Parts: sequence; C-alpha cells; structure tokens
Amino acid sequence: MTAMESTLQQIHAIMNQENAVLVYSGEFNQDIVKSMLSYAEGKLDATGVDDLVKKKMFNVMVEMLQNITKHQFTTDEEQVVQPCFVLIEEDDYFCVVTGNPIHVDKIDIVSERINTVNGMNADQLKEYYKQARLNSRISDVGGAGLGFIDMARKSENRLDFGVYDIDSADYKYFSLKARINKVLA
Amino acid sequence: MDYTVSIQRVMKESNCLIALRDNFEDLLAKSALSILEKKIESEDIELSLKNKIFGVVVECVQNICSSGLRDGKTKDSVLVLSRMPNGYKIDLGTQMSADQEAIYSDIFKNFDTKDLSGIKEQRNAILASREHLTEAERDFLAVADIAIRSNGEVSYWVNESGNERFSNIEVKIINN
Repeated sequence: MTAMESTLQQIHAIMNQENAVLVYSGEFNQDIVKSMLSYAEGKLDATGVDDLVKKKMFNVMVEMLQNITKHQFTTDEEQVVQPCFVLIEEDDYFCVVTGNPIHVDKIDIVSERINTVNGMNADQLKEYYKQARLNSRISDVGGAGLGFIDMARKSENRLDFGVYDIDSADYKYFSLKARINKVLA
Repeated sequence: MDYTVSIQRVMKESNCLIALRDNFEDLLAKSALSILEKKIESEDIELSLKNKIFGVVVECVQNICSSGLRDGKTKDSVLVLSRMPNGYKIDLGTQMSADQEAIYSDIFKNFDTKDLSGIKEQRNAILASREHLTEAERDFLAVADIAIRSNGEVSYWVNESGNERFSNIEVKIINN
C-alpha cells in the first residue's frame, strides 16, 4: 500500500464515519470562506431545504468560519496544527464543525460561554444576546461570546464542543459543532 | 469530535489541500468545482499549471465521480487535492459497478501498452468515428484526457474491504 493510498483511505474512512461531505484544513482566507459558502449553497439547493433553513445554515457557517479566521494560528506562527472545517449531512440535519488551536488560558472562558448559552431557552438567548451586545467591546478578540449566542439562536440546537490534546503545553485543539435541522419545528 | 484533530493531522502530514465526498451530481458538481477552482486559484503557481490541475479535476468530477452506482443519496466518491514537492496530486476514490470496474481495468491495461501519442491517436480515432459513444468509449475518453493532461502520470487500482470495492485513481501533475 502506498502512502497516498493510505491517506485517501484514512480521509475517506473519517468522512464516511462522520457523514462528512466537505473537509478543509489549511489557511482560511476570504476567498476560501466564500467558496465554502458557495459550496454549501449548492448543497442546500440540491437538498431542496426551506429558504429559512438556508439562511440559518449560512448565518451559522459565517459565524463559525469567522471564528476560525480569527483564531487560526498559534502565536508562534509555527502552525503545528491547522484549523479545519467539516460539513456533515445527515438525513434530518446538517452539522457545521470547526476545529482550531486554542490557548490553554482561554479554554475555561470559552467552555463557560458555551455552557451558558446551552443552558438557555430561545427567549433567554434573545435577552442574553441584547445584553451581551450592549456590554461588548468590538475590539475584543472573541468578544463577549456574541458569536456563540448567535450560533445557538440560529441553529436552535445546543452547541457541542470538545477540547483535545495536541502535544503542546500552551495549546489544545478546540472543536465546535452546530446542528441545523433540515425541517424546522 | 476528536476526528477533527485526526483530519487536520492527516491532511497536514499529506499536504492535502481539500477533500470532498459526495455523489457529485449536477448542481453539486458545479459547487464542488467552484470550491476546487478557488483553492487552485489561491495557489502561488503558473496559470498553465492551474489550468492543467483544474482540467483534470473537472474530468474526475464530471466523468468519474458522478458515474457508476449513483442513487442521489449515496455519497460514495471522494476527491482529495494535495500538494507535492514537485507538483500536485489528485486522488479519487469511487465505487463502481462491476462492469465499469472491468472497463477501467481494460483502459489501464491498454494504456500500459501505449505511449502518450498512442493514447492520443486512439482518442482522436474514437472522437472521429463515433456519433454515439459506448460507455466504454466515454470512459476511455475521460481517462485519456486525464492521461494527456498529466503527461501519463495516472494510475488505477481497486481496494477491497469486506463486501465493498473502491476504485482509486491517482493523478500527478508534475511542475516541469
């Protein structure tokens, strides 16, 4: 078995297992983000989902892709690990999954923000979003967690996340998953 | 979700730029090509090389990934674009019917007996003499085009895993 044969098989196995239709790992720039959104648009058109679902999906994707663009590199620029983007299609829903390095100092605050939005219903999220907007400072990288609130509101589902070891004292790998139902309740 | 760590590791180690898995039918093929085109455009390489890569990708997506066992729901083709030290590589994995698998085996056996000019001659002969192409001839034309664009750097093999068979095509575009 050649090395590439093995790589294709590894990627295929992961994509099959997770029902992933698009996997991208590498530098994220505006063109790449635009083409991913365009791919998702084609995917959604092919699936024939409602326009409102498309809108939700787009909003969530934009928010998550913006997050990656902001947090894609480790500070030492060595890029030991790369950010990644995965689009999953199941029978009843899509999942947008991102992964990027995260400094260990930020893990607690990010986890807390996600857990907080996961514990809220739609009305609470709406109110929390208003308050967060009033209190946020635009210059903050990562802001006041507005992105997470927005993702939770738009996706109408809990946000899943995981933090994984990448053999670095300063960084871990942060994965975030948002689920968007194909048929709205 | 630890698969995200595995994916980025596998892709980084293998210099994979992007991977797509789907049935690549009609509308989706256009979107897939669009995203691949953008990725190729963003590479710091000559336009002629970009055109070669994209030409091969188009053939792969339109003629190989979207043929065979397709039911509109099955996502059984994978296309991976990778960077190599001296060029680029397109790896394609797809499920084929037994008939199509036999056609591809014959095409590549035929290629082994010919140089590029022989492949071009056979391609031109098919194009000149046929109004209605057979499935085997259509497949030959697709693979011949890939072989010509890649200067013959194309190979084919089949993986077996349990009851599943997966046809693999590897195309290298060498930057001369």
